[in-house]
Amino acid sequence: MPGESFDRAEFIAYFRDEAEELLGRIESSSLELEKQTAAGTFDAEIVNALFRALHTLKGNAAMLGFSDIAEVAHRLESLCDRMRSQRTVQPQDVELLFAGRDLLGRLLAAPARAQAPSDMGDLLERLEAYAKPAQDDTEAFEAEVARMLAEQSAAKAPVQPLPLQTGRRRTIRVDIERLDALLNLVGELVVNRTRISEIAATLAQADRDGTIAKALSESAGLLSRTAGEIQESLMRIRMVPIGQVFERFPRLVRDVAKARRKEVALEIAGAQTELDKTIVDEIGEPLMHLLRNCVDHGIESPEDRQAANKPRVGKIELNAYHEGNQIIIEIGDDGSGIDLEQVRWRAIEQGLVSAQEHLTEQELVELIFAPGFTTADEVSDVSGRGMGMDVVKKSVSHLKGHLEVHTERGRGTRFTIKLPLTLAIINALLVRIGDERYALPLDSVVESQSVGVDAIRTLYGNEILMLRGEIVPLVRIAEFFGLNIQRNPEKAMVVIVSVQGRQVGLVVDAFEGEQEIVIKPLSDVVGRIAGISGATILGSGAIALILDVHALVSDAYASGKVARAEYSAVSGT
Amino acid sequence: MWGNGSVSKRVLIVDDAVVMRMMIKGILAKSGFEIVGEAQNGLEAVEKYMQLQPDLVTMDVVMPEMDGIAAVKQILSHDPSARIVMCTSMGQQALVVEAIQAGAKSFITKPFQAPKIVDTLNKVLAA
Repeated sequence: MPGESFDRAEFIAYFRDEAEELLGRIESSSLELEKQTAAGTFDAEIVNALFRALHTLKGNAAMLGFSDIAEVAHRLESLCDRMRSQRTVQPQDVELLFAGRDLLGRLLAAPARAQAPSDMGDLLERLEAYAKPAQDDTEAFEAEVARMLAEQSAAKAPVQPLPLQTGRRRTIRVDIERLDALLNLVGELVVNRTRISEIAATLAQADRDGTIAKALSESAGLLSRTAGEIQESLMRIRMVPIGQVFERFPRLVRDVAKARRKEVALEIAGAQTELDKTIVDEIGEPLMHLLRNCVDHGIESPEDRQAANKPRVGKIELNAYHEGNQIIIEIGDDGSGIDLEQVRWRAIEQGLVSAQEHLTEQELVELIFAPGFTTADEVSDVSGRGMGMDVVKKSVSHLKGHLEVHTERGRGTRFTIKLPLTLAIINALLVRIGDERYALPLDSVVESQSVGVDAIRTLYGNEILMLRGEIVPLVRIAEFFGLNIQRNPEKAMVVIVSVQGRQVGLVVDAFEGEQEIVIKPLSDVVGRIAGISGATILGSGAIALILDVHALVSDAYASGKVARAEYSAVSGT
Repeated sequence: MWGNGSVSKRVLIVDDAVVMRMMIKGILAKSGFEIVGEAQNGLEAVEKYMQLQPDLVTMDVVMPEMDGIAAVKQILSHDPSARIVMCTSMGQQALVVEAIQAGAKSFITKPFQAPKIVDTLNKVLAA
């Protein structure tokens, strides 16, 4: 137990954070060792890395009085010692490592002073065989060291200076809440700078020779630029590598594959790709579910694969990279692909579509994202329980991302997730409707054009536009929101937006150019408004609402028959 | 330094565990030591030692990149008068012996009580 002059409680949160990280390292080393066991090779450096992680965890846990964690880590250390001395890793060693890692995870998650899990004794017993022979006799040892030190007081032989390596990365850890608080303050600063600009403008009218107004205006400009730079730097601080999330997947894939008797190799690329911490925290669950699905439904059994002339071991690729202002995460497998005929029958059985309905291939694939849809006959213990693909899709949309799926029978399935780098700043197209400004996320805008009213046709009572031979349904934003604004009798200003290949033309009164905007959520007081995803403050200080393009597009396709007819006409070719 | 009171001793803390560094830092700061730097592996320790020239170093043994023993050897090869105290976990006696042979001045074993580390460091400084 630690001494009286330091407060254990204040370190526990940090201890848990660091322990999670160490458990991640323990796990990846264990997985690596498992591979080597299978291949019959031995790499001492991996055992060393595993040992270091266990050792650090042991030391931290002991200092903070988590004696169970220290004990388990200590026993696992001994197991590492044996692997090192025998230069071999047995399959049962790896099983013990995984069991130990899981136990450590549970001990860590348990509240302080909870009862030790019932299987702890059992595991410690199994590890007993590896226990180090003699325990430390601290007193005798200290006496021995004291004697050595006394002997050494004489001068030592000079030692040659050893070469130095330099250039290490310098980092600190910061609580994310502090960053959020800072970000909020900067938001206030940004809002305030526009007030100052306004004051400068007012002053310019009153101030006769204009020097004070000019000075103030210059100063406001500088303030504005600095505030913008601070905001950007803060966003950068919040960026973390996505590898943090990927770390736990090798183990997940291994466990699922084992449970389903599949052979799967997971290949990870782009772990260094950085994105906003909030997104990294929330993307883990959906990715985990997609990976489970790939192993469970995508990859065939080794026998089936051989029969289909494929390698026994199935391959899942997980890849992340930047593309413009987005990050792309791909999960692809070389399995059997999605059986669209089966999807169709399941959907009919579950009453999601009617048997008569003609569905395109893409529409069939999209059905796997329908709430409640499952292809499993029985709920397996891996996927097909609780969280469905609809939840995956929702999580991704919640992060302002898009989820696409491409599948080919016998060749495999590829899920592509496109996410914004940060949730807080986007490029937007500003439009005017009546006297109000609205912002449209630029990534969903295809083009904007002014069309004569005679180009607008009516199909099943809904307005449409023919665009390069395709039918594009129109949504008049003013009418969507029930605003009392006269239509322009001669022409319509149309912004063509696209969400997952579906195009809709949004009719506005004027285009006002592109601008980077900082997204502010609508406050809890206002609540959710259909068609609006947030608000932003423009350089002028005016507020602009941000249009929820996803909602507008799905609404356009869900409400009218025109959507159905149009969609079949477009994609049924 | 101004005034003629005793100048607080400057310490460099070396440990690969963030929590351990925080705890040692907390204990020592309360006991009047000045923490001039932290390092998370042997390489950093050597660099920081050169740069900061501390009065004392607390040195973890098992660390990535370069372990504590190698760091002790490096530091002493540049500054034979360096005062380094090893900070080890149970089961590392053989390594402690190696560190002492390499020139470390003392050691403490984790988990330790606050008075123990303060006492050990003061003894090394007085020697």
